[in-house]
Amino acid sequence: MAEKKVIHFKIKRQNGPTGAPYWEEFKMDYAPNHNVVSALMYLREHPVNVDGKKIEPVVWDSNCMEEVCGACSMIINDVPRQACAALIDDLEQPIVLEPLTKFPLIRDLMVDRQKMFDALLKIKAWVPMDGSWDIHRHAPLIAAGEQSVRYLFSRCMTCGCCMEACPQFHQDSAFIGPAPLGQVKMHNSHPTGKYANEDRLHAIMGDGGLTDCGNAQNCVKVCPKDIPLTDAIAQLGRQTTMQWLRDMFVK
Amino acid sequence: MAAKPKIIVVGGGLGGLWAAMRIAEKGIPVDIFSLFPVKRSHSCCAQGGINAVLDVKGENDSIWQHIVDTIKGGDYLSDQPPIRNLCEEAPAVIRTFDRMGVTFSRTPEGIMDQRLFGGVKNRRTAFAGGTTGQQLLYAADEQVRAHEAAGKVTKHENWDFLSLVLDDQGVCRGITAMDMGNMQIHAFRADAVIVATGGLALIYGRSTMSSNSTGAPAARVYQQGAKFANAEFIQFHPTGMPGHDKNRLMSEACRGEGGRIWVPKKAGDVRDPLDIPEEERFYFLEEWYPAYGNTVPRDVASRAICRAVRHMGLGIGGKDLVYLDLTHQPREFLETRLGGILEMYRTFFGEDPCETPMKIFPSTHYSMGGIWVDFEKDEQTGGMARVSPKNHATSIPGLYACGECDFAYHGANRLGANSLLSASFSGMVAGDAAVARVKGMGKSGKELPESTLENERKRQEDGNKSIMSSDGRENPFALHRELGDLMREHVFVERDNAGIDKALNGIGELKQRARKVSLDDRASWANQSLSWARQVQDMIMLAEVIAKSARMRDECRGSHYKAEFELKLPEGKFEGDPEYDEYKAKWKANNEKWLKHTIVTHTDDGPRIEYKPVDISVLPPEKPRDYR
Amino acid sequence: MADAAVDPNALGERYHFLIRRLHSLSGIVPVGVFLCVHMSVNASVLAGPARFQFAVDQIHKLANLGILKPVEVLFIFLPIAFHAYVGAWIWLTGKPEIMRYPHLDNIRYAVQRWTGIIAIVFILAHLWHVHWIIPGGTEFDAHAAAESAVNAMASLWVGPVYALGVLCAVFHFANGIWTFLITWGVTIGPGSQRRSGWVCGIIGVVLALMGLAALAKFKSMDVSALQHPPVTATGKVEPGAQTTGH
Ligand SMILES: Cc1cc2nc3c(=O)[nH]c(=O)nc-3n(C[C@H](O)[C@H](O)[C@H](O)COP(=O)(O)OP(=O)(O)OC[C@H]3O[C@@H](n4cnc5c(N)ncnc54)[C@H](O)[C@@H]3O)c2cc1C
Ligand code: HEM
Ligand code: HEM
Ligand code: SF4
Ligand code: F3S
Ligand code: FES
Repeated sequence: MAEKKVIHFKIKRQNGPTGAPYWEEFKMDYAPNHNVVSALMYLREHPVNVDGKKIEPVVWDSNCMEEVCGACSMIINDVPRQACAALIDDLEQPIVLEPLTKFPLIRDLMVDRQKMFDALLKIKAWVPMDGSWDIHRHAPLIAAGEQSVRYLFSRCMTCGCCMEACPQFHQDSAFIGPAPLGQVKMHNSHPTGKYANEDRLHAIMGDGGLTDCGNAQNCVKVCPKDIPLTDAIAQLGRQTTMQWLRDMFVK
Repeated sequence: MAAKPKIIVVGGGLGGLWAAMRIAEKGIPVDIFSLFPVKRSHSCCAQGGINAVLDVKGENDSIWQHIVDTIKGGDYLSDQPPIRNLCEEAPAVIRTFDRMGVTFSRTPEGIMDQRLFGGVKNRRTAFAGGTTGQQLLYAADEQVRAHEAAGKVTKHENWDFLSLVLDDQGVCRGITAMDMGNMQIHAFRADAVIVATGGLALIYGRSTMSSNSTGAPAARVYQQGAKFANAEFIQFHPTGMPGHDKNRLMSEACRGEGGRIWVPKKAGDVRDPLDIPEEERFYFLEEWYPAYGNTVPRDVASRAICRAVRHMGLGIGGKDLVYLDLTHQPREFLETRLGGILEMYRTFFGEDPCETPMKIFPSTHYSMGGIWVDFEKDEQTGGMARVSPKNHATSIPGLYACGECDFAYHGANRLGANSLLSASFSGMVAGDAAVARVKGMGKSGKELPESTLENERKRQEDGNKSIMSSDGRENPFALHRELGDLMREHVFVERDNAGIDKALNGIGELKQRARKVSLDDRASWANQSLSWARQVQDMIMLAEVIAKSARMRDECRGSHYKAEFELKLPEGKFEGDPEYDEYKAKWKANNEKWLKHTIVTHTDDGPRIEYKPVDISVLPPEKPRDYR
Repeated sequence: MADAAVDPNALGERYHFLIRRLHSLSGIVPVGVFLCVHMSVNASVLAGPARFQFAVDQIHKLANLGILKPVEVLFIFLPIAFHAYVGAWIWLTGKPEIMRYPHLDNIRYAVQRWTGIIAIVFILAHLWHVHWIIPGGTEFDAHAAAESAVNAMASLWVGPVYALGVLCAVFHFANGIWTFLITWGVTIGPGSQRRSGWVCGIIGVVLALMGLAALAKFKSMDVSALQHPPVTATGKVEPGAQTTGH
C-alpha cells in the first residue's frame, strides 16, 4: 500500500447541553493495538481536525480502561459499547463515534447517567443491614450455583449500553430500564436481601416500572458483560404478579 | 464549631465509602466528593482478591501468620501496631462484606472459598470470580446508597477536589472543589475531612491503574502542609501489557502455568516470534535463576526484565518489551487454567496468547507510600487503640487519610490482596477516628468566618484564571507524557543516584514549563483540559517527592532497589557460617541506619526530607528475609 | 437522591401494574380467544356453506337468548377497545430503532406495535363493512351467513385489505402469546423462550392459513348458487341438508 495507514474518525460533537450538534473528522497515524480511548487520548494531545484546523479537544469519559468501570460507553459504528474495549483493528473506518442518545448530553461524547444511579436508589438496590460492625457470625450460606447466578448480575457496571439500546427507555420515558431490573433480581435472590423484596417489587410496579419493558431484548444483546437481563425481567414478571396477588388477597 | 457537625470524605473508592458508611452509621452527616461517580472508582479494577484468615482450607492458617507475612512482606518498614489490628479484624471485614451480599466464590458447602496468592503459604485470599475489587466496591457503594436514601449521605459526584480550607490555626475546616460541569469553584465547611483519593501511578505515565489515579489530591494536601511518607516505595508489576493508554495487568498465573519469558538473542530482531528458532531465544529468567526459573518473585522478575532490556538492549524490536510465551502449552490446558485472563489479552490486544507470545513489561502498579498518618497505640494489646481521633490523622489537624493514598500497612512492599483489605479497614478506622474527633470537639471550636472560605475559594479561582488566560505553549497532555517517560526511565524498577539526579533535573524543568501551559480548550463548560492541567502541575510536585525520597535512600528495601547498595545473601551459606553472620551483621547495621520512614514536608524550595523511626514493637527484625 | 422516591398513592403508581397486566391478559382472553374462534368459524366455510352456517348459528343461539349483544359488547368490543386503547398508549411510549438494532427480537417488538395499529384500523373498517353499509359492504345476515359473507367480500379491495388484516392480527396474536409468556414469567431463560417461539410460530401459521383460506373461499364462492339451509327448531342444521348447485 502506497498510502500511509491512518485511523479515521468521524465524531459527533456538541459544545454543551444546549449547543447544536456537528460532525468533525480526524485522522491520525495508524499504530497497532490502539483502542478508541487510546486514540482519543492521542487526539486530545494533538487536537487538529482533518482540515488542519486546531480545535478544542474532544471531551469523553473513561477511567479503568479494562471494561469494568462502565465510564466510557459511547456509540461506536452504530453500536453502544465500551470505547476502551473497542480495538481499532476490529472497526470499520471511518470510525463513527456518537454520544449515547438516551441520557442528557454534557459535552461531545460525555453524557449524564445520573438517572441510573437514581434508579438504584429507587429500587433499594442493597442488602438491608443493621450496620457495618462485626456481628461475630457468618452471613448465611449461599450455594455455589446460586452464587454464580448472582455473580452474573453483580458485574453490572452501570454503563448504560442496555439502556441506550432499549426502545422503551429514552429521555421522555418513565421506564426505569433494564439494568436496574437486573439489580432487583440480584438483590431479591440474596438470603437476607430478600427480606426487602416487597419494597423492591413495589418500586418496580408503578409507572415506569417492570411492565414498561416491551421485550425488545436489545438490552441483553448489547450488554458488554453478557448479563442475562431478559431472564431477570421474566423472573420479575412472576415475582411482581405474586406480589400483586399478595397485596390484593393477603393484606 | 458549627451547630451540627459535618464530615467531608474526598474520594469514593473502597476507602472513602467505608469511611462514609461508618460516619453515617454514627448519625453524622457526610458529604462525599468524587471526581466521577463513585461506582467507577479505581477499586473496581482489582481482580485477585482480599486477604483474611478464615482458615477454611484446613491449613491451620493463623492471624499471627498473616501479621508476620504482612510485616515481612513490607520489609519491616511499617508501623506494626496498626498491622496487628488490620490482620485481626480482617475476618470481621470479610464477614461484613459477606453480609452486604458480595458474591464471593463458594465451596460446594456454600461457604466462602479461599485461594492462594503471592508471597504466602496458605490459602487466605477470598475472591469473587475474577472481579473481587468490583464486587467489594459495589457492596460498599450499595450500603452508602442506603444511607443516602436515609438522607445521611450526600454525594457530590463529578467534582474535582482542589484544596483544604485551613483556619488561622492551620486546622482543616473544609474544602474547595470544582464542579466539573460549569467549572465553578465552591467552598464547603466541615468539621473533619477524610481524603481517600487512591493511588498515584499515573505519575509514571501509563500504569496498571485507572486513568484518573493521578495522586493529585494527595499532592494538594501535601502542598498545604500534610506530610508525605515513604514515597520512594512503588510496586512494579513484572507482567504488564503495555498499551497506548494503560498497561493492563497480566496475572502472575501465566507464569505459574508454565509461561516462559524470553527475548530474541539478537538485539533488535524484528522477526515474528514464532519464526525465531529455539536456539536464538534467550530465556533469561531460566538461565539466571535456574532454581525458580520463570516463577521468581515479582521484584526479581521485574529487575531481570529491566536488566535484559535496559542493560543488554535485548527488548523486542529495541522497545521496552519481552515475550511471555504460553504457546508451547496445549490450548485446552490454557483455556481451563487461564481462560478469563487470556480472554482479557484477546479483548485488548486482539491477539490469541495460545497462538502468539504475549508482549509484556514491568509496570507501575501500586504506591506503598502516601500521606503520613498517625495512630494511637494501645499499650495493653500492643496494637492500635481502635477508637481514637489520632488514628489515620495526618499532620494537618482535622484532616484524615485512608486507602491507597495513605502510607500505612504496606511498608516497602505490598503483599498481593492486602490492599483491598487495607483500603476497607483504613476507611473504617479513619471514619471512626473522624467521628471521635468531631464528637470530642463539643461546642468549643469557634465558628469559621465566611471570609476564610471565600479567600481559599478565590485563591483557587485565581489558579484557574491564570491557567485559562496563560498563553504559554505547553500542552498539559504532552507534559504528562514527558513526566511519565522521565519517571519510567530513571525512577523505575532499578535505580541509581546519577539517574535519579537526571530525573530531578527534568522534574525541575517540567515544573517551570507546567506554569506556562496553554489550553486548547477555553470553554467554561465541562473543560477536562483545565482540570487535567491542574492535576499535571500537582503530579509534577509529587514526582519530585518520589524522586527526592528515592535519591536519599541509599539501600535496597522492598521495591526500592539500588544495585550499588545491595546486600547480597552469601550463596549456600546459612546461620552459623561466618560469612552468613557477617552478612547478618551488615543487615542489622543497615537497618539501624535505614529502617526509618522517609517523611517529606513541602517547602517553597522543594521537598524537605526527614526520617522517623518505625514502630517495630510487634515483630522486631531479627533475621534477614530469606526465601531459600 | 431522596426525591427520586415516588408517591405510591399517585394514580399511575397504583393502577399502572394492574392496567398493564390486564392489557396483557386481554390480548389472550378474551381478544385472542375470540380471534381463534372467529378464524375457526370463518374457516368452517371450507367445509361448505352449511358448515359455516351451522357454526354461525351456534353463536347466534345467544341471540335467541337475547344476550348476543351484551356478550359481544362485554367480551369482544370492550376488551378490544381496552386493549387497543392501552396498546396505542404503549405504542407511543416506545421509540424503536430497528435500523440501528436489526435483531430479530427487536424487529418483532416493532412489528408487534405496527400490527396492533393496523389491526385496529382493520377491525374498525371490518366492523363498518360487515355491520353497516359502506360502499361495497353489506349488513351481515346471520341467517344467510355464507351468502351475505360472500356478498360482503365481493368488492375488489376486500382481498388485499382482509389479507393484510388477517396477517397482522394473527402475527400480533402469535407474537403476543410469546411475550405474554415472558410477561407472566412462564418462560424465563433464552432456551425456553426459543422453544415457546416455535410453538407460537406454529399457532400463528395455522391461524394465518385458516384466515387466508377462508378469505379465498369467500372470494371464490358462487353466491347465486346458495340457498338457505333448513334449520330445525333447535337450531341444528339438518344432516344431509347440504346445499347443492342448480
Ligand atoms: C490492576 C490492579 C489490580 C489490583 N488487584 C488487587 C487485588 O487483587 N487485591 C488487592 O488487595 N488490591 C489490588 N489492587 C490494589 C487496590 O485495587 C487499590 O489499592 C485500592 O482499590 C485503592 O482503593 P482506594 O479507596 O484507596 O482508592 P480508589 O478506589 O482509587 O478511589 C479513589 C477515589 O478518589 C476520587 N478522586 C480522585 N481524585 C479526585 C479529585 N481530584 N477530586 C475528588 N475525588 C477524587 C476518585 O473519584 C475515587 O472515588 C489492584 C490494583 C490494580 C491497579
Ligand atoms: C378471513 C377474514 C375475515 C372474515 C371473512 C371475517 C368475517 C366476519 C363476519 C362475516 C363477521 C360478522 C359476524 C357476526 O356478526 O356474527 C365478522 C365480525 C367480526 N370480525 Fe371478522 N372476519 C375476518 C377477519 C377478522 C379479523 C382478522 C378480525 C380481528 C380480530 C376480525 C374481527 C371481527 C370482529 C371484532 C367482529 C364483530 C364480532 C361481533 O359482531 O360479534 N375479523 N367478521
Ligand atoms: C387493536 C389494536 C391493538 C393494539 C394497538 C395492540 C397493541 C399491543 C401492544 C403495544 C402490545 C405489546 C404490549 C407490551 O409489550 O407490553 C400488545 C400485546 C398483545 N396484544 Fe395487542 N394490540 C391490538 C390488538 C390486539 C388484538 C386484536 C389481539 C388479539 C388477537 C391482541 C393480542 C395481544 C396479545 C396476546 C399481546 C401480548 C400481551 C403481553 O405481552 O403480555 N392485540 N398489543
Ligand atoms: S446490564 Fe450490562 S449494559 Fe446494562 S448497565 Fe449493566 S453492564 Fe451495562
Ligand atoms: S431492550 Fe428494553 S424493552 Fe425490555 S427486553 Fe430489554 S428492557
Ligand atoms: S474506561 Fe472503564 S469501561 Fe472503559
